[in-house]
Amino acid sequence: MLKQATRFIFVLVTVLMLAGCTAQPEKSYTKDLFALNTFISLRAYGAKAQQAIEIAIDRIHEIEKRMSITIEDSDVAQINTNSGIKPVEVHDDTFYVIKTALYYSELTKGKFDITIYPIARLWGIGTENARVPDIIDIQHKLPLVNYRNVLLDEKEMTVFLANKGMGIDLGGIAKGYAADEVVRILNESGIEHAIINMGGSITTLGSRPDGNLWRIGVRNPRVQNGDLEHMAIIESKGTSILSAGDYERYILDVYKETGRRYHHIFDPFTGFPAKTGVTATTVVSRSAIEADALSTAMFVMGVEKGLDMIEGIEGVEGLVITDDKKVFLSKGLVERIEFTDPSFFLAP
Amino acid sequence: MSFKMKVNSVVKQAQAIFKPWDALVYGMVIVIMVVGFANVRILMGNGRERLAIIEMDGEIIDTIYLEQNKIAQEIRIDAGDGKYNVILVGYDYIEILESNCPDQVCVGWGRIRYTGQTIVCLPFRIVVRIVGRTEQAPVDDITW
Repeated sequence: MLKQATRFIFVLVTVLMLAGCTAQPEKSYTKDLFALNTFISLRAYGAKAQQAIEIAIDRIHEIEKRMSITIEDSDVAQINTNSGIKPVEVHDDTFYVIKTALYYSELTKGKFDITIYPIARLWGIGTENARVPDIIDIQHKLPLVNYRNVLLDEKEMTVFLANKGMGIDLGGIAKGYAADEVVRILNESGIEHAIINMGGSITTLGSRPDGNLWRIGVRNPRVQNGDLEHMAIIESKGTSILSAGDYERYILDVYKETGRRYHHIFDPFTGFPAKTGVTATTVVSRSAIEADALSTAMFVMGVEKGLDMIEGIEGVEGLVITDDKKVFLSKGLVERIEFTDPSFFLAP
Repeated sequence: MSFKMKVNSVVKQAQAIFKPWDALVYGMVIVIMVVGFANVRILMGNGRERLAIIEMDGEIIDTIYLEQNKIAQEIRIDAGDGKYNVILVGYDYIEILESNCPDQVCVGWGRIRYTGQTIVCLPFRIVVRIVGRTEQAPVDDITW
């Protein structure tokens, strides 16, 4: 009797062990939140995923508290309030982000410029007060846009906007910085696979948990009913893929009436939404902060200058989509992209 | 020992181990296992069951089983202060048809149909997502 019972237990244990052999995907943890004025989704794989993501979220909130333009006592709000008055002491990370932004302003010859804020505010695109401003008002505000008038003091850790009325908005680049910080934290917590979506900016850590490359869709900038949302797929691991496009935010009323898209990516030299025949740009880089600055700059520069710039920076790839659905690629992207929408075609 | 004898001996040994009652016990174990697995498969959905979830401010405000939606239905979400979204839920997709939000990103997004995909109306903090079992999405995420 005892022998029978032993045998029975043996069989049961064997069968249960075999049952455990069906391929189990690696455990993942996903968390979504609204922060940094966007929708953020974090997904990490492995036993420590939840703990690591909680730490990363605390860091996102910290960055938001320091760099959000709408939080009254943030570093950025203080810098803007004190424009033309006095330098403002800021946290290390705010200083780093502004310094990096100025580096990319220099690199892009001012096409990417965080001092665009007075112009962006005048247009109010994406808010309830969006409108085409009076040309006089634009010309009045335009002299305030100049990254060279952001004065940094490394010793005192202060930022000073030289002229009264100037303002900076770290919006996109702060999101990029936050994505880089999330990756750093997850990595330090022993996470090997993760994917982060910050309002359409996708950063990956490592490969997919099954060892394959991540497949990141590039949004179709002119999606119609029934179309796929993406027009191409880029395969990558451990990269940031960011896009800028005229379809994200624009003045809908004016578009419906006139067909002209007044979107949210401004040319710092005209004070108008950039008009270079480009509908969208995408940049692939190892850092999200870099990808953010470069995708915006490339949009403002247009196809030729934009791609020239990208080709000149090591480890960065990019694509530009134009009004007539032509797609221009940097050389390194040709092998890594797969088109999914036949109405777009590769420019020679 | 001839080959036949060898076989006989093995059979006898086997008979000694597998007594008739044992066979019954093993049989029952196997039946229980098979039924158990089948149940799990059915409960988890056999690759067809999918849900659309509508959230506002992180709270789930509506859940729709897509398969039961033979005819597409429109759902109006009131976000307070006259803010609204109209969401179209079909048998295998969901999309935001209309919204009076200022940026209109959600309306231009198109249809989603795979698990893990979302449409976000940022100004009104409304998130529409697909959960449950769907076929594998062609991409892990989308940059825009």
